[in-house]
Amino acid sequence: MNESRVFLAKAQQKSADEIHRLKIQKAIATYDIKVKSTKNRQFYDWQKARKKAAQIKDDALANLPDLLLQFEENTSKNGTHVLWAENALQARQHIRDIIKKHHAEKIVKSKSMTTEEIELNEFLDEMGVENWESDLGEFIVQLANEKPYHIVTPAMHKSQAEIAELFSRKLGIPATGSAEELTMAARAALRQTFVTADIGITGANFIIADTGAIVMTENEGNGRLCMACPKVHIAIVGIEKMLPRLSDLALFLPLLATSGTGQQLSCYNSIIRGPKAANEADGPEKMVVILLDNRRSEIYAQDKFRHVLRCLRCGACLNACPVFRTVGGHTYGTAYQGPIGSVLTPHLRGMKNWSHLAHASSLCGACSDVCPVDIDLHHLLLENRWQAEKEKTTPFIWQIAIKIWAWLHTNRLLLQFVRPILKLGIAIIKPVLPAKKKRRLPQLAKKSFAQMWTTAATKSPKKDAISHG
Amino acid sequence: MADTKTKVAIFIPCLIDQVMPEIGFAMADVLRKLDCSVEYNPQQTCCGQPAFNAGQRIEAKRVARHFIETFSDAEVVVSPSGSCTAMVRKFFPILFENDEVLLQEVKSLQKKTVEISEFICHENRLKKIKGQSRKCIAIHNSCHSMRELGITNQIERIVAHIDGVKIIPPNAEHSCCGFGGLFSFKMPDIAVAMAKTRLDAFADPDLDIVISNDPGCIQHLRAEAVAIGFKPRILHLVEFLQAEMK
Amino acid sequence: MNSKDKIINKLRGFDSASPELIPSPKDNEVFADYPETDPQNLIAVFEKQFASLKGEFYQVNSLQQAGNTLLAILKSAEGEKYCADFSPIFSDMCAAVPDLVARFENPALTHKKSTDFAEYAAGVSSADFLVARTGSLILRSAAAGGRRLSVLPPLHIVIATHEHLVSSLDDVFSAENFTSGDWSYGTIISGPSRTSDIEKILVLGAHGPKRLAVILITD
Repeated sequence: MNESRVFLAKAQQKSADEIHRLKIQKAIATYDIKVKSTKNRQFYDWQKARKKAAQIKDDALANLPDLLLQFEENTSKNGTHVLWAENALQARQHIRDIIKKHHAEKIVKSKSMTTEEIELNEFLDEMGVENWESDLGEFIVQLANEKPYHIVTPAMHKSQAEIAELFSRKLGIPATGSAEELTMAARAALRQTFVTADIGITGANFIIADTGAIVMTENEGNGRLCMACPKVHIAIVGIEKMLPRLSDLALFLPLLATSGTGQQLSCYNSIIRGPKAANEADGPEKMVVILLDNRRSEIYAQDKFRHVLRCLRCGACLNACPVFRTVGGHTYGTAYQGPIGSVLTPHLRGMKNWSHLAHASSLCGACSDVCPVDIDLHHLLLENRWQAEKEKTTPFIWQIAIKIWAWLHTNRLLLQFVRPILKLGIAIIKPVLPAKKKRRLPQLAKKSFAQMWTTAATKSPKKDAISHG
Repeated sequence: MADTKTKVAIFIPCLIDQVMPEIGFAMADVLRKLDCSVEYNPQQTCCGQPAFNAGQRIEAKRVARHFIETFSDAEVVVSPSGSCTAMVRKFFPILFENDEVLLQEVKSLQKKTVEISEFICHENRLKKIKGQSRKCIAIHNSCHSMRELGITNQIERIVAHIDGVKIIPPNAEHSCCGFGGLFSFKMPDIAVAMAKTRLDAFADPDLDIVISNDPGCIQHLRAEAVAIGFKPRILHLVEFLQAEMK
Repeated sequence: MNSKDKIINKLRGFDSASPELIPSPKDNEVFADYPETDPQNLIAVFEKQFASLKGEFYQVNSLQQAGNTLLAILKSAEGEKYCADFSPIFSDMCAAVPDLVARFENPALTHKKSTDFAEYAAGVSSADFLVARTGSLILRSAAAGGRRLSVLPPLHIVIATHEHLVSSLDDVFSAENFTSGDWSYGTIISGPSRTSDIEKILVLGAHGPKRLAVILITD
């Protein structure tokens, strides 16, 4: 089955799943309230803040090659080893080489969508290395043998009861746990992993050129532990995560936290410049930053799309999207879900198999409204549709249908002439369509507005001049 | 006094032309009540949005070019659809970005094309909205009119001129009805679920009418309303005004 | 050509122009609640923000009081063994309250293994900055006893003076000495560790400290 059919099948199932919808609505309602209040409390001008952030990111992108080199130079001075990966394969190979070199047997990971993008977990499993997700949400989906549901809230789709049942099966605790008891169970289960792991793998939210640092935002402290205990720290980062200066964080950290979770700042924002320095008590002996391209440079090449590389992966567009709220994160089948995923994925993984995502939107624009870096997401979906058409990946039936439609709609006489045939066609086809499609097929009026108007005008040519009072 | 009247060329979107012509007549009626003279060029068909949204810009251009020709002589173009107006104002420039000549025509069209609630909200016209009603109404602004055109409270301001109307706010933040043009044909399951979610926000038992300004939303929500037994009527702003300004 | 050159060349190929970088915005351009610089006001703002993040705030006016407050907090800790960064301010406090010093270990001196950190019920560190507007603490690894001391124990206590207090993040990043010095790791801490991954219910103490306390010494 191709990706488009898989999507439609899953979407059909989730659209009818009321329990799923209630869970998601509840979680997002909580998020909405927090975001609204934090926005109002923290920013006196949210619009100005996001415009400013967009400008800084655009600036960073315009200077990206120089800033990447500047970052490498600065962080190397602190002893960080920088590796470059053109694609997912190279990134995985880098990681494999590090694992082999350090004879690592156990890895602890913090939440990183970039590692989802390069399918690192599957790769590590194949290598036979013990590998633990340590973010609570990620830990839950790992135990459940699932993919993250949402880029910020990976276990949004699971109720407390479902997680309690899962933990009871996997961790042997009573199946009646409260959210707090479940969190403590995960804490206890992972504690030993943190202190015995050989390598910590993290992502990063920002790369800072002038300081030679990466920055990681989190709430739980698992990221900090991944960078504090193991003797090797690997950070895998998309090249677009660039900020020119450390001082830019004064805007970007609050912006990210507000859009991501409705917090003023996330609990921990760590600035990592390198491995343990000579004068320091502890820290990893080795730190490697893998700078990942993986087709970002191709997005960069396209004027219309470059600004999508501003994305902070805050998840706000997912929460705002009525399609995401209906079909949920797993339906997309991608590392990045929701509107940002539908914009990015066809570029990261090929238009041919993924252009259907561009059509999985009513183009309502809620995503663009909430984006903290002002990405024109819904218009980029339109651009993706156009690109799919240019690359001839639009389904044939739609190509033909639209061609005929356009032909009819450039000539009123032709349209008039074909109308009764269309009406008949609809009458014939309607009974055999599935219920929901049937409902979507409009009932044509007896006569078109054009016909009725012309008839009325001939009957009463002076109608327009007669005032209705 | 015909010469002082604003000459309005009405732009009847394809969905109204073929499926809901009564909304077109209601708009013409309301415009006349606002002392406008109404002109309709029957050569018009559609703005091209269905093809544009499908990504088929070559076809969209053909239809849009036909549209531009049809309205080249108009002084003011008024449309009962936020979405179709957005097509002209926001998306025509993208469609013709590499066509210097047509881009000029598009620019003049951009300036003179307005959606009906925007048009009515001009102060000279707004004061002519008068009527009596005891209806409880709710408002569904279309996403395109809100986000592409910046139409926010226009319907509310207009309806407030009908004495006695009670406006009931929906019990959830705005969400898309799920129409999205071809989206609702390509992905009907999602579109229908979205319509249901939207109608759930209008749960007030006193509600008589849901008013919108886009034929797409109206047609989509009406179909869902029938399916789930949603009682209030779903009307276009101009249908409501036509009925209440008698 | 290696991967680095390939990526850089690809980006350069499309690079239209490299404009001068626009400066970072000043904090007060976009943020509300920009606190004044009056120290008393800063303390009040910090206290309020820190408390709203579920941090425990103690204001004292001498080293001795600070030491006694620390002893009192430790009474509610989950165990009897504690670690500290033995920063100048901590040492001064120990000098003022001699009872203290024997109860603390310096994991840097004892080359403590991560697996043995479990015996510590609390970690005490200094901070480089306290940020009023966000109720945050800023620690840098070189000065704060490393990376583990402030994250592994279930209780983290920070000793600071009012000189550490600034108004906003902007002040921190624009401080001249912020990036100077040999520190490999810095963290901005805003409250005890937390998660809302289960049904968006807030739970404190996900993986980091379950409790976070600040003892602020003012004159």
